[in-house]
Amino acid sequence: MSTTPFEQLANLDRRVHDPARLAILTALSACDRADFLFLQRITALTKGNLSSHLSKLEEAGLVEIEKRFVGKKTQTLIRLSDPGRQTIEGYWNEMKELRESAVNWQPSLVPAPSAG
Amino acid sequence: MITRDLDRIRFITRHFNDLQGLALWVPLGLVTLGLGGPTLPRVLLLSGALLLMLGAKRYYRNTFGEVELEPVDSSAELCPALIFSPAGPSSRIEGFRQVTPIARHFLITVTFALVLFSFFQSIPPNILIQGEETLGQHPQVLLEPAPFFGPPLIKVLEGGVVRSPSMIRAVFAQAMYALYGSIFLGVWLWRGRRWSQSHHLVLAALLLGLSILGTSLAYVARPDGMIHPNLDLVLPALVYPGMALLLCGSSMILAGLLDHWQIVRALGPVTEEESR
Repeated sequence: MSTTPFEQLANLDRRVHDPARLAILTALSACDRADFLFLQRITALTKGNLSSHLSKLEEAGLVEIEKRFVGKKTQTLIRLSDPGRQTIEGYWNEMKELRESAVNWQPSLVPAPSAG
Repeated sequence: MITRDLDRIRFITRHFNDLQGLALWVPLGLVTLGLGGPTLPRVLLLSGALLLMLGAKRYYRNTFGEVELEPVDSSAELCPALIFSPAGPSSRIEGFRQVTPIARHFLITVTFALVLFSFFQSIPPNILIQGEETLGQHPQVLLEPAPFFGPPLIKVLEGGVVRSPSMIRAVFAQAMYALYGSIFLGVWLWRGRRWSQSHHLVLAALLLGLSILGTSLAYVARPDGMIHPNLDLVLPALVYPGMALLLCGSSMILAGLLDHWQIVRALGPVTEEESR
């Protein structure tokens, strides 16, 4: 591979690479859909923080948000969209490649910067 | 923000519904305990189990939220027998009902355990158990000198060798251990053999161990009724069905409480703001 692990790291999808969003997408990738309360519990995010991250993920087309009434309460259900599922799978593959290239990486392989 | 371990997030999400110990394992344990008791405690335990199941489901939904798992897609899975077909691999026939992964694990482990159990039950010589569970008597194991009269059905099942009623009760107790032990083993395998799920493995080892020990009683029994003191200590658990149901039920309740504790630990305590 021509790129160094550092370049690969810089090319990671920023929408996914954020720890909170990664936690949300990881949880959603393990199920069909989950409600807001569960995501809040599993990620340990505050309501405001989780809402903000979900809005960003929805804008990016990675998740689908559906609201429904259960009795008198509103329940928010979140599902990973098809592009979202592909994105998170692609991210894990990139991370796997990155890990492998980081293990095999040697400083001597990097071309020395030209003087001046 | 404290980002929780991603693997744990994936595991808890995937198994959120079956980790709800108060809604699943504890009621099943209470039902098991109720099977062995007199009528009134039995009715109380069964109704308690039903109420707990309903109440716990609501508690989990209101406290920790809801997770819907993906349905098993039978058509997407390749049929192993057709991989070598000249037409190439093809998916399963539409409409063919495929068992879910949990059912597959249970079927494999329970069938394997019960087949092994039946096989080993048929090998040793017949024994006679003296002592009555309902009277609180300590059992005594004796080698049976002559074939005992038994019901015709048992005669057919045992291939002509008739077993004493006391031995049939002991076989029932040991079969309960084999069944419940294999269920715990199946759960442990299905949940990915994780360290955090080792309580299921420990309970499986305990119950399957009791089943094996009970099955091999005929080898250690002597005509005079003497038995090793350590084995004599656990003898009531090996031969009395009531004790077996008590142990199996308690194991289920313990497993349920530990599963529940895992959910509580992984998903955090309820804060005042959230409970309002």
